Amino acid sequence: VKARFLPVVPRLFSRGQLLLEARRQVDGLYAGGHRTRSHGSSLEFAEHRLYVPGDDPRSIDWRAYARSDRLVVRRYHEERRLPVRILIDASISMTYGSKLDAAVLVAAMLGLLALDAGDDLEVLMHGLTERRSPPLQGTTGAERLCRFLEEDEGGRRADATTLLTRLRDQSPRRSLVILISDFVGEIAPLAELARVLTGMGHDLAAIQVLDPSELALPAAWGETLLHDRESGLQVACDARTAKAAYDANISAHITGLRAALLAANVDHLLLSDPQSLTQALSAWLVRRRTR
Amino acid sequence: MIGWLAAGAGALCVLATAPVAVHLLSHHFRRDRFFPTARFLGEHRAGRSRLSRLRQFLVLALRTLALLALAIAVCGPVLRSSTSDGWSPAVIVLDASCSMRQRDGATTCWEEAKGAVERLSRELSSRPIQVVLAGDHPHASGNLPELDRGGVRALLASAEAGYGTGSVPQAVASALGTLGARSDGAEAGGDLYLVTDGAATCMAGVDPQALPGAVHWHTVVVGGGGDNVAVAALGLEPGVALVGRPCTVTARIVNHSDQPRTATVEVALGGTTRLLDLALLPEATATAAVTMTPQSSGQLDAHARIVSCGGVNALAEDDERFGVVTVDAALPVHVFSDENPSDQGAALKPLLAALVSAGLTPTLAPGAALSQLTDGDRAIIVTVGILAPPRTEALQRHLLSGGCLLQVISSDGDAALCHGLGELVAPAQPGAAIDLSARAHGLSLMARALDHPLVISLRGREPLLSQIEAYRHRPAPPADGSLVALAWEDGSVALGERAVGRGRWLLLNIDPTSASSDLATLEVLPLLLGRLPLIGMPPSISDCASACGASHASSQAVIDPSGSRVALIDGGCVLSRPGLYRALDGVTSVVGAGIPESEGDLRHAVLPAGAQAVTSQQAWVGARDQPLWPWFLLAGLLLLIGELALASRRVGQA
Repeated sequence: VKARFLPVVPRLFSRGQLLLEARRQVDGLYAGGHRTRSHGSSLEFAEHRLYVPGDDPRSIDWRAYARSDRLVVRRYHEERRLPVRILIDASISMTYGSKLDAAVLVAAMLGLLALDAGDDLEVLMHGLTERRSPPLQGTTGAERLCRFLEEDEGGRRADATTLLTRLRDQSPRRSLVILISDFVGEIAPLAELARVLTGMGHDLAAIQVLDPSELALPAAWGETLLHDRESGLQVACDARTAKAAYDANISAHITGLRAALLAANVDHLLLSDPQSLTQALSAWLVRRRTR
Repeated sequence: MIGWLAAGAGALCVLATAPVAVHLLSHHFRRDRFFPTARFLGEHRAGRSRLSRLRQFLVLALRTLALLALAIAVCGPVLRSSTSDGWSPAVIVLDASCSMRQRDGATTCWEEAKGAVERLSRELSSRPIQVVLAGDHPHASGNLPELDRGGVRALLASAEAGYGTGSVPQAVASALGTLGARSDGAEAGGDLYLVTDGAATCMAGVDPQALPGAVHWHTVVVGGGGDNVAVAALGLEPGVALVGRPCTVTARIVNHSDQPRTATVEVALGGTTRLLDLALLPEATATAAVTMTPQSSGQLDAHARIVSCGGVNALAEDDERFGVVTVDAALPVHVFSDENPSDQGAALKPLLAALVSAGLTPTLAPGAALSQLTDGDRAIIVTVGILAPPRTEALQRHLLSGGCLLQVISSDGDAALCHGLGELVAPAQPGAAIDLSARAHGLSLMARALDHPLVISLRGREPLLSQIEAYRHRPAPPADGSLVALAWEDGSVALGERAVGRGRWLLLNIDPTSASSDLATLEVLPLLLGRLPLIGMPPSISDCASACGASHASSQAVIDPSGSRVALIDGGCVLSRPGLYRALDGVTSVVGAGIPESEGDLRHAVLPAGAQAVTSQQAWVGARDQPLWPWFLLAGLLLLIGELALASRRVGQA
């Protein structure tokens, strides 16, 4: 890669300072656990159900029996330690601009949230190599998480579909899966995999990280030869004349991606401004909580 | 050929534009970028990109050309004029003949011509030039063409048009010499301009097609072409004015125009003046004459003047003409002989006696004095006993201009003189003398044509002729075209005549010495010579005024019409202006000078091939270095506008 291909972009955090930066930003986030869709014994009442033989007699709601003369049992939301898996696409395309920094920072923030909530955490990162973190828990987990995330600067040819394929093949256990990628690949296989994973009981969320220049092609670039090194595509164009079509195409791609993910019951969050990661993430978490 | 007014500005311009040019040439129109979502650019990208790159290259080309054009414009390019190298010399010949004095409105042709020369010298800018004034004598602004115009300005400041025909051929020859000298011995090269009025004689004696190939001829006609009525000549009839004999001065008035004119002309001879109204047909001549009978010998002033003339009369200098008529007491006869007039055995003595007895007053001069005959001498020339023929150019001119020569063949020198008058052919070619004294009878003379004016007095006196015999004889067969009045019995010419030019050459092949013939012993010789004035007197003189610009032979300085003394040069004084020239006493008229008749025709002549006329303005434009920098400037601006339009369109599309 020729040096002139690489734009000079400000790093979102200094090397070795990821934990501090993530912690600083997490302080502004909503701190709380993740609701699970599983039902069990919990302090939070969920519903009544008619008693059937075999139910635990301790779960019978005698007061309800007194009112309705029917045996019903109380059901509660089950609150338990939810495994969280963060999948980071650190492929070549993610090395463009601050995308990888943003992805790592978001992963660290979400990881800290999970660890703080007592969840089990596992990180799968496809960068220069395909790496999987050990199960992370507690305070030590946070430090290990950040070291893990900082070890790889990305650069492999991979995409979100590869990550989901790995997850499908290696992790049949249900979990909260947060996939961080730019999602510039094909939508159809990704959506298909997402449907499979949600069908397997995974709670899947997709965080799409894009550089601002990817959302709106800068006309000031003028005559440019664009190298898409991940696909090997080279496109010579005049940014001033190609801008309209590009902007429309990328917008349509994002819209299509969001629609496909929603159809697969997958949350989608688009992050394109590195300076407002916290706000965007906070809003997304609130939205997820109130869903 | 392109030259540069400020070639040094090129380096400055390069320095100034170098950063821009380097920027333009090193500018990367296409930057390489890493961009992961290139596939969303869509299908249009390739075509648009090619179009855009083509446009970019077009913009680059326009920018580069604009800068180049502006840089060249700053250097001041000019298109050099006609000559190949752009620096060859130019010689301007200024026609200073009298016709240049013609007036057209408020200015004269001469003033316009001087202005044209001055302007032309400026337009020729940095080229070396020389101006040659083709007046009565060529006069150049310097020996060599000069780069500064000081000499040219000085010449033009002091130059005046002459009153003669000018000296264009000599001036052109001088110019060619100059152009040849400037080209380092190679063939003459450069521009030769003739600034003239285009009158009928402006190119007389000049053949532009005979010039060296590297010499570019330009005929610059300045004004001219006016109508003119002129006193062309003052004729005299008969050709010699004698005391007691009527003589007539005839003023020849010429209408050099296509329109009929009426003119009032005053003609005067001595104290007799006449005023005449003449009707002049187009391009025709009319005469006005005055006659008087001189009562004493001396000089008479002849004068003709156009008092009034209807219509355009562009040249005033030829409206008046002065001449001098010399009145002789008797017809002058100059006898040239190397013999002693008192020698009894010489032919001169009986000849002089016969001339005197015929009523003539001969003057005697040695044979060598023949070479000193003056032009305009109307005397009868008699030669006899010439020992060695002298230079005869003057005698030839005398004959051709209407003079009369009686050549008496007595000596071998006399016979040789018949072969010595250049191209002129004698009435006969006498051979070597044959001694006939041993014969019982000499060679008899026989009449051939007694109606000849010279021998008509012998009609009825044929016995006298028959008594004449020759004892010493020179066979002399007559030449073609000769008229034989008397002949010897062997057919040789005894008395013959031949017309030569306007004059007469009489040849008397009868030696009057007693040892050679009986001519002197009888009264035949006085009878013959008594008729000589009738034969030898020219019937008329076409013009008793000399042409301006000519030299008049004189033994002393004269005073010109303006009262200035004219010094003698080579035994003559140059008649530089029209009018009467007088002796130093201020009274005696010496000669009258007038405008040459050819100068009166001011109408434009048909110029010879290779001498197409151009106006002064055309000459200026042709000589001028055509500035090209405005075109380069305009091109640069247009290119910039085009570049801006193209660039703005591109931005607009974006």
